[in-house]
Amino acid sequence: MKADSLPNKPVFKADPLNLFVVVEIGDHHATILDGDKFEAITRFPTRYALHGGPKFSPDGRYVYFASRDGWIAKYDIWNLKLVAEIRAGINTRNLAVSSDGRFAMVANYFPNTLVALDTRDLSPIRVIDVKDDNGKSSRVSAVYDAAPRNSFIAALKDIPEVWELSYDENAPPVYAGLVHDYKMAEALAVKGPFPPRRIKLDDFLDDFFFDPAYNHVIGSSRGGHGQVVNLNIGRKIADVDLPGLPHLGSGISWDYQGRPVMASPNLKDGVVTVLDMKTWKTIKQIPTLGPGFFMRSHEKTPYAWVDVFNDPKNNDVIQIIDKKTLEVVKQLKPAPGKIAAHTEFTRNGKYAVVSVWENKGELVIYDAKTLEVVKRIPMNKPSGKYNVYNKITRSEGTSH
Amino acid sequence: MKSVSRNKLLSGLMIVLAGTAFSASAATDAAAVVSAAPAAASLNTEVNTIYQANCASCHGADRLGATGPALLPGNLERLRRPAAITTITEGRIATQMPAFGATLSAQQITALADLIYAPLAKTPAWGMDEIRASRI
Repeated sequence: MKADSLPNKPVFKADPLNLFVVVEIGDHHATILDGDKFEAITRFPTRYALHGGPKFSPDGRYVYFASRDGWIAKYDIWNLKLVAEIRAGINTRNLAVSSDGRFAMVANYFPNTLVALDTRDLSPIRVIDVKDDNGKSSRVSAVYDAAPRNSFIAALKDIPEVWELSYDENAPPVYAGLVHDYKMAEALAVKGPFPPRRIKLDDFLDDFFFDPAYNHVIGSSRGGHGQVVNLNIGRKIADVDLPGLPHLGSGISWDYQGRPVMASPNLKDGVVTVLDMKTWKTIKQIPTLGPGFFMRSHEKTPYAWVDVFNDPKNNDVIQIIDKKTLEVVKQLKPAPGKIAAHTEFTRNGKYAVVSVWENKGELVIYDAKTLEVVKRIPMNKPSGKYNVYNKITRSEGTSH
Repeated sequence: MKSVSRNKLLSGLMIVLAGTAFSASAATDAAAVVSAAPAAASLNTEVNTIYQANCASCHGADRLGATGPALLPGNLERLRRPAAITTITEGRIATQMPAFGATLSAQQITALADLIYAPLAKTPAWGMDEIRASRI
């Protein structure tokens, strides 16, 4: 089906920027949810086991899904129709969509490749073998769009490198070595499109998140400490006090007493680490009930919400942290005894949507100010939910 | 010189192996007809036959997946073995995965589970051509 042959406006009345795409992993479906009325607009089957977050086109019309088996799907939200599918790998981690909407980049575990796709029809543009100078091949942990840089950033699992792949035609050429080298081994420009700029690290970078300007990537190293890598100069600039691995895209940022801070839970200890983004010093380790996956908030809400996913005794709790005092001010139990996870906010930040992560689960909608439940919607093991506006505007309260 | 003799050895070995495989599959067919218990040596061949007859149409002849998911160790990281055995036996609700508990023996189902958690003998290629051909 030709994407551009479909009508250029939504077939429904709901605000197309306040929709949620909800991934239901229990029976491999996705729901398009009206974020004002909290009613499903449609529900459709996805490929088996979606993996990594779905990504939107810049106007929010299309959403792109990746499945663990490598299937990439392009879905037209305005027309509620699947437009194209392609299998970009055998075992895939996630995909990213460029900020100009033209390209998708797929991170694969098997084979060890990055695959660039043309988003118009998902046709492949380039398959990039991922290996280091000695030919050692690596799985790709994840790829993200770094919008302010006009590039994709890929983290590698088996070699201590981070790759930056520019999609900007005016970007300067990338050289794999020194251009004027006394050893007479001068580098030639790396071939494009998407010539990898390989940032070599002292230690492996596992899971990570970015600062809002995409100048830094903050992640864990195998040594057990957190590290901050400056993407411009291409090296580690600071160690940070992350007690354990953060989940991919776990962190958020806000302004605390006039300075920008980032905060994230981790998968090992029950604390949320708050970092000063200027000095990379720890402002506070906020004790929580246990290790968690994600912290989420919104520009227009005073609270940050954090799950306790990795503690079997407390994983039915969502903890509410006041962004001004850095204290836990409330604990919510959306469904006692059942896992609570994956908070996301509506476009205006007035409501928070939490998943009860069970086969007979539900979405629980909270008033983000009063912290009262306003609605429950049954769903089949809902995992991530993605608000069109918050994602395409890169809200500071969520990952992208 | 050395490589020549090695090649000869290898091709000799392959003929032997091919012969084994042939006789094993013949034995399996015969066993199926007289419904005798297959010998342990032919179990490998038998499980491949069972896979091709029952699983391949959805999961692909090469286990790379088709309408059903890929059945490879890396892709099954989130599914524990006992859960895989339950899925093969009872099927999966609200999907096209049927139950095989009535048509396959417990031993055959266990053998299938062993098969899908074993790596492929030959690494599949998934390059530009395969990707392009997969587009729907």
